[in-house]
Amino acid sequence: MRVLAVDDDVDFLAVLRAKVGELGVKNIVCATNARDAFRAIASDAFGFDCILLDIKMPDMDGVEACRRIRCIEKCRSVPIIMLTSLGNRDWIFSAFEAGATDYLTKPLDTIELAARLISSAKMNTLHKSVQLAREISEETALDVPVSVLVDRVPNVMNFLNLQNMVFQLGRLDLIFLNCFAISFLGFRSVRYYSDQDEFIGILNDISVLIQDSCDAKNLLLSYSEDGVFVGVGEFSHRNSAIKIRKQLNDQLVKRPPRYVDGQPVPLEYEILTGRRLALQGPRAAVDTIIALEDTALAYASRFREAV
Amino acid sequence: MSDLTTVLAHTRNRFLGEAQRRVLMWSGKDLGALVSKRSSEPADSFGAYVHRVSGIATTLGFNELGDAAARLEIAIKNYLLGNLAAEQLEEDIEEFLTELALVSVARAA
Repeated sequence: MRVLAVDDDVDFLAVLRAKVGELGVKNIVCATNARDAFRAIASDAFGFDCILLDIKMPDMDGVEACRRIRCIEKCRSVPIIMLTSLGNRDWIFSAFEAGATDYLTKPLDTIELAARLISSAKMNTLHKSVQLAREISEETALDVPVSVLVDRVPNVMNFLNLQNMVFQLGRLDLIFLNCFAISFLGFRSVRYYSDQDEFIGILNDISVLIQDSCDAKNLLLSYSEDGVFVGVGEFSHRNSAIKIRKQLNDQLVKRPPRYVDGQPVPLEYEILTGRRLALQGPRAAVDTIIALEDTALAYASRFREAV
Repeated sequence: MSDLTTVLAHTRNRFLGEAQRRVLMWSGKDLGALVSKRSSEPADSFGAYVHRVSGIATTLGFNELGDAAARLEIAIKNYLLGNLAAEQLEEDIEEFLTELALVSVARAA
């Protein structure tokens, strides 16, 4: 495991290096400010497995540094643990919003640090396997019936979104999330994963009008086996959801209804933005997330076998 | 001695040396004047030092000092926001300096 530690206090860095070393991590690179950290990242050929980042530093604070690190292609998924004596909610929220994975307050507790590092390492491994699966599936053009790939997401708001999304999947026909998690996963294009041909036309229409109307990036449209639509995208405008809702209304009412047991079922849908989902409050969907992670890992191994 | 023990001993020594210097530097000074209202405070200022101590003192085993520094850090923030009276801030500063003096005395002994 390779760790980058950034803190302006050289004494703390020395102690941190020794403590992390005691945990068996011998490869730890230290930087005393954000600029040195960027240099270390740029000159590092192998990529860090974890970044420990202080918040209060001269020149550039850790939150801004975190935000900029997340913009570096090879660091999009690297776990960033904020390690700081600032424990108030504003800082915690800002840190997670900037893309931090975890937040640990000083004084440094070795056991807690070990637990967080292990958790980060697991998350990193999972992310890499999901990414590998995606790359392989793109290369081999396999038709994979995955409705949504879920990774642990990099900030609190997205985690709430994710929990809500998982919770809502059972009863909503369409969910749109203004979700950074998708760029975190790195979806670059629209792909369909399904064997239910009857909905492909609708998905096509939706994808075309969404991309035409609101400049959606990293869009993933899909649906599960029971016909639940899932659309996840990162939208550049706040009012995109309103636009989409209007255009979907216009578009979908023209289509014939789908039939279940010979009865027409009207296509119901709802568009939820990240903010609205977050306002609904956190839902404990951890079991589902773990199950989805297992599914993602299973797909990853299946792709490897296929190749 | 393990690496960690050596590093802790070395860091502790350096920390206490600096604490001694700081105590001498700030003794007899107007406590209220130690806290700067400038937004671009230099890294070696009183506020920055308090922040540093709150981060590392407990790790080095100076729990009371670490607690006093953490309390003072919050007090400084509240004072600068106008939510805390100067007298209350001075009490917190005095408590912090007392703890700092105590650990530096321990080193001298």
